[in-house]
Amino acid sequence: MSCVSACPTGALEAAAECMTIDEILTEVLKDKAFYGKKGGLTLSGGEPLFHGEKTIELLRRAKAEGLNTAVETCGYFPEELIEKLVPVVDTFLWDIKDTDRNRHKLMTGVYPDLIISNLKKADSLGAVTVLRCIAVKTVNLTPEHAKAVAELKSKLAHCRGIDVLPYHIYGSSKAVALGRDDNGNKAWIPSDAEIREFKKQIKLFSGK
Amino acid sequence: MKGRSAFCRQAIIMIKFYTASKTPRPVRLPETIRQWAWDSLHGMYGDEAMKQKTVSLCDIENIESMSPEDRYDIAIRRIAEKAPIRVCEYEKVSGSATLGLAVRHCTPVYWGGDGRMGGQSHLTVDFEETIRFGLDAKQNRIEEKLKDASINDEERRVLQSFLSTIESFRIYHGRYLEATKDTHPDIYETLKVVPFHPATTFREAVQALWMEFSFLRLCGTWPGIGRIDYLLGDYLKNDLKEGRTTIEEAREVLATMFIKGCEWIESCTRRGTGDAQHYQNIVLAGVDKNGKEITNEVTYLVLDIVEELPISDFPISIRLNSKTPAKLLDKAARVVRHGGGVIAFYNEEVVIDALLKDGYELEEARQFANDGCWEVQIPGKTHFAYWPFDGLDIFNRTVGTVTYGEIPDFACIDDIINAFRAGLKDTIKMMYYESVERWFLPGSDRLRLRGQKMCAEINVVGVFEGDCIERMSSYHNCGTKYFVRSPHIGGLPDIANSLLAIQKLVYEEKLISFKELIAALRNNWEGHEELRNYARTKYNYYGNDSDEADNYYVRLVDLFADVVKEVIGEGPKYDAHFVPGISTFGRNVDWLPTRTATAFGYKKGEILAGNASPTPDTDFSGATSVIRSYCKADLRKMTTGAALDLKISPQTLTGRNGLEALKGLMRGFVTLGGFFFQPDTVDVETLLAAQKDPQSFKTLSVRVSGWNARFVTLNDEWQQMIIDRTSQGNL
Repeated sequence: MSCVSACPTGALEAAAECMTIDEILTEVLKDKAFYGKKGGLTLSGGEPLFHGEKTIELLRRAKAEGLNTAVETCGYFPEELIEKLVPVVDTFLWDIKDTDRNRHKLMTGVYPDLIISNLKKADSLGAVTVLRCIAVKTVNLTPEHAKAVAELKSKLAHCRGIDVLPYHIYGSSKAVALGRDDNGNKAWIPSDAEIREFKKQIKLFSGK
Repeated sequence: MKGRSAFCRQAIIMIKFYTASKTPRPVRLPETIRQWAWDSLHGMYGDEAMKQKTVSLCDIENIESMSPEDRYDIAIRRIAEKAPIRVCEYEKVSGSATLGLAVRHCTPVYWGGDGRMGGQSHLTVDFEETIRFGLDAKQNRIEEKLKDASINDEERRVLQSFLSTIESFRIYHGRYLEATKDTHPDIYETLKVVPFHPATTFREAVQALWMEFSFLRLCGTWPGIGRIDYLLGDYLKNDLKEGRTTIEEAREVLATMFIKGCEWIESCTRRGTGDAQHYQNIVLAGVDKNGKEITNEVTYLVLDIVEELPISDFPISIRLNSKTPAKLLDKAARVVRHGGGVIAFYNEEVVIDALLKDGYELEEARQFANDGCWEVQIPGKTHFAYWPFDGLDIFNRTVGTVTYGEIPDFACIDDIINAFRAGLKDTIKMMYYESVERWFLPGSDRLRLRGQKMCAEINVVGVFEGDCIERMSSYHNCGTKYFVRSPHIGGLPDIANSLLAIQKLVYEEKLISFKELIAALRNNWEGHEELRNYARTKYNYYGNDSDEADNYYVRLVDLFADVVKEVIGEGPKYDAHFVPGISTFGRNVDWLPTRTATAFGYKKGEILAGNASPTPDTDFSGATSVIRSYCKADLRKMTTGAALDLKISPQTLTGRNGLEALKGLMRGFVTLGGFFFQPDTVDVETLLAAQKDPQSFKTLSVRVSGWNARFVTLNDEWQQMIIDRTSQGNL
């Protein structure tokens, strides 16, 4: 990062910074006055559990400071983390990208089995979850997927709800900035009406 | 008027009001009332007022040679007799300010002479006595006083002038009685009781308040309204308990008041440029004189109304404390997200402490409202004026960027601060002399000092200021209990930033000598572009929660408070409150011609800090950091206030998360010890302007979804997305 701090005109900008757990906590606690009873620390992506034990340590320390904690995760992480993880997370925002095994493998590179089994195990240990379902037009906007998501939720004792997130191409700007091809696919963006329909289906299959 | 198109009513079946939020405004009021609000907001009545600006006094003999006091009393009577009467179809309370010159803050009369009678603002008068006891009681009080043979001629004259004002008010009231008799029997019945007898119901209380307010406005005087929920809450509670009214009915009555309050909007003036701001501030919530929270149904009804109707003519300030009901925070957040900057917040624990430090009694301090704008004062008891000045200009003169003579030299930053302190003290001394000493000099011509030579004492105000009757003295002649003069410093964050930059560039990093730096600033940084960029981008200035800069800000606040105290200590003593505050409002733009380049890399002509907010384009660490920096100073020392503006995009406030985020800001502002906080929502026009001129909007922050980004750092598609979202719900 020395070139960033040396640049006299501030033309360079650091995209990220290496920080210790202490440093992160110090930063987070600066805003404690603004959090109230419900506010606190949310770890988002990349994948926070990529850092495994370190992530759990950070969450544990945050809880000890009286902060509310949340984790956004794709669910694809080593099973043995779960027992330590659940007690230090107040809410999981848990991605369910697809429920069709083969399509999941095709689109993401892995089968969803570990994601689902981790989710169920976390739930059995009392983890509060919100399922986050990306909606990709021509890929997973199907009644079968809607049904499977609804069924999955019904099997979870502590799941608080389902968020449907329309696919977007806002990542393109970053890809282009990195000198890569614009990899956004406009054909995958669902319309508002399609999103409404998909949500309706989930609701229908949930029996509500 | 030339170039002014007349108001034109639009045929709209279902009224939809603009909101900056994705969430539509709620619909609670009947469609007829909403249509009426739309008409009023679009200039129907403002245009009407401009058709007759004044009433004439030309037929009155000797009007030219009369004493200003007598002329004023006659003017008020003539206004009461002759001003057009307006009763709108759907109104629930009556009283209107129908003369055009009142909109321009003058007593709306014409007598063929040279010179106009002014009006009075920056005060909140007493409404409580009128509501709870009635004007007849006030009249009796004055008549009793007049029976006292020991009072002198001047006192007698003032009391008689008060009586004359009440008589004029009675004429005005009588004309509305007459006008409503056949068309609005419900209003007629109410007017038979108030404002001359005590109000017994909510409707009567609102009518009493409104009649006093509208009469004062008609006479060209603009009072704030103050603590409306304190004034009206008990009446509504009783009515609801006794089944005399419903919440829906009460909301309609109050909404009437708000809609009538926009009667000065003209169809051709742009909203939001200040033309709809007539210092009619409302203060909600907070503790009563016994320390008990007063938040009640009226608090929520007021917020209901501004949540539904985009009326920003009554700026609302909410008094927060550490125990503010969660429901109120939530409701306030719901209103703020619709934009328009309708709501600001006091941290009342700090405000009350500040007043106590200045010698106010606790019970009175707890009743604080403001002057109709935002400067803190005790309603009905205060004669107030503030004296704004450019602190940065004093600093620039100290370090020598302003003059062309020899550049002074300073060995260290403390020497600079001490020299600045001396310059500041000279200014404050001059202000103390001008604003306090001259006022109390024997034989002082106070009306001339207030620029009110033509209109005497403005007794239309005096009669509604609690102590003027007891003291038998007019408003402008020490009739009020508190006499407050407040020097308000501007540019304080810029001075802190200048100090940091000089400390770093000259004394720590030794990149340039002090004299060379000042020479460069005199030259508007010419030939030093690289160093200018360095100074501008290299350091964390005030507003980023960085102690290096914030410590200078804290030190400057303390220093300013100390200097003011010192000046009082060294000067003659009076029954006056001479207390500091921090504000600029638009003046940071007005001051540009006299300001020079600054050490933190800004050239002459660039807009610098407003109020106690960071210098534009220096705060990169988010809203919470700005609040943390601002709260580091002991703001109890700024008795009449230290304002912080925070620009928040309406998108930041979308959905449940947006509400929580805003509530978080309020909570932090209170916990950390802020004073006055004005969240500023930004509309689509601003975003379009930012696209055209990104340089000027570099710190404009928008919420994207789970995070915030600086708007100009987003690419075209992203910006368009934000703009599209923002324009949803537009008319």
